[in-house]
Amino acid sequence: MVSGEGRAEVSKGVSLRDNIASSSILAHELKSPLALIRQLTFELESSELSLGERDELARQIRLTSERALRFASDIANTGRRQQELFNTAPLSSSVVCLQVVQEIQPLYKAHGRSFDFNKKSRDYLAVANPDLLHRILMNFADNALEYSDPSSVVEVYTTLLRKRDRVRFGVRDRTSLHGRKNAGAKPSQLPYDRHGLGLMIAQEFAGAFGGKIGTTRHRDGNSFYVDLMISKQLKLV
Amino acid sequence: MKRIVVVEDDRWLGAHYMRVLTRAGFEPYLAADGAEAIDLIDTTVPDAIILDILLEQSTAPTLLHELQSHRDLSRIPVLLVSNIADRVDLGTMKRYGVHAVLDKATITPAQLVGEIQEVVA
Repeated sequence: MVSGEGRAEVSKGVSLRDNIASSSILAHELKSPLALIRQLTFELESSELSLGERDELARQIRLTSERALRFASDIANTGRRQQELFNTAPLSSSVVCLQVVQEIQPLYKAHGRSFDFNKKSRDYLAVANPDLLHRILMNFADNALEYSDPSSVVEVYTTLLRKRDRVRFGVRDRTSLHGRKNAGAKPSQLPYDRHGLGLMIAQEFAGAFGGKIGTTRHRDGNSFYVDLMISKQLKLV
Repeated sequence: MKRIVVVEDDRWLGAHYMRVLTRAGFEPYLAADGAEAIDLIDTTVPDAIILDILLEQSTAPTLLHELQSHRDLSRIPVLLVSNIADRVDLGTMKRYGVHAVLDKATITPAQLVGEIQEVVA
């Protein structure tokens, strides 16, 4: 699945239902944020907390529950996808990326990290379903927060592919070798067993409008991306 | 004061364990991954270790193997705390110094403190 250059594509035609036949996998994915929420509520009951600490715990509980809800909502949507045809439209890549930044940034900040839009990215018109593309990128951003090195910088980016007929939307984590917490350790090593479910959900969504999901392992981090057809309207400009 | 090393890659959960243990009168230290944990365990030589099973860049068994290779560290009791506690065989893990496997989804702070008090007594 992973080539020598570190690129990987999620297998085509493998349905989410085939891969997650066991509902126990889904249950486990949801168990993690729910267990955290439960532990944090125990903390709220402590009488030794200041008002500021209580506010901080309440914020952590809210952000964690939002993350769990996003995941549950994605699962529900993959089920519905079989019956529905999602509409596609030409989308401004910058607008899509900035919306993702706006939504995920509070969660990153709460973890003492940052999530930005890569400044070198140009604006392209891509053909996609806006809701599903947003969810795919949110999924990548959630994954990066959980699995990338805590000292890494995470960005959403867009780039035009070589044939100029597709545009790539990706989320990239980048760790400076100096800043890496575990000197000598490799950056996040794409542990597919842990990333897998989110990627499969993303692949299901992308498949709804002809997108293709993939990953690239870099020396200093990882990229998770979706390649989409560029809008023909661009040629008219 | 008994020293406890907590190995947990979820920052908020790790901070929660730290508060619970501090309130219970322990001296806790937090490591976010296996490599950091080894350094911390080596310098603090704790009385017990609370260890998450699925850690970024390493897993609990890797860390446990490492601990077993050092005579002084291999004697430190370990409590595994995880969301996959039901899939872990305590019988197998006991040979690595694991005293209990606790489920993150069901354990309470009081139970966690109770388990720690038991192994450091």
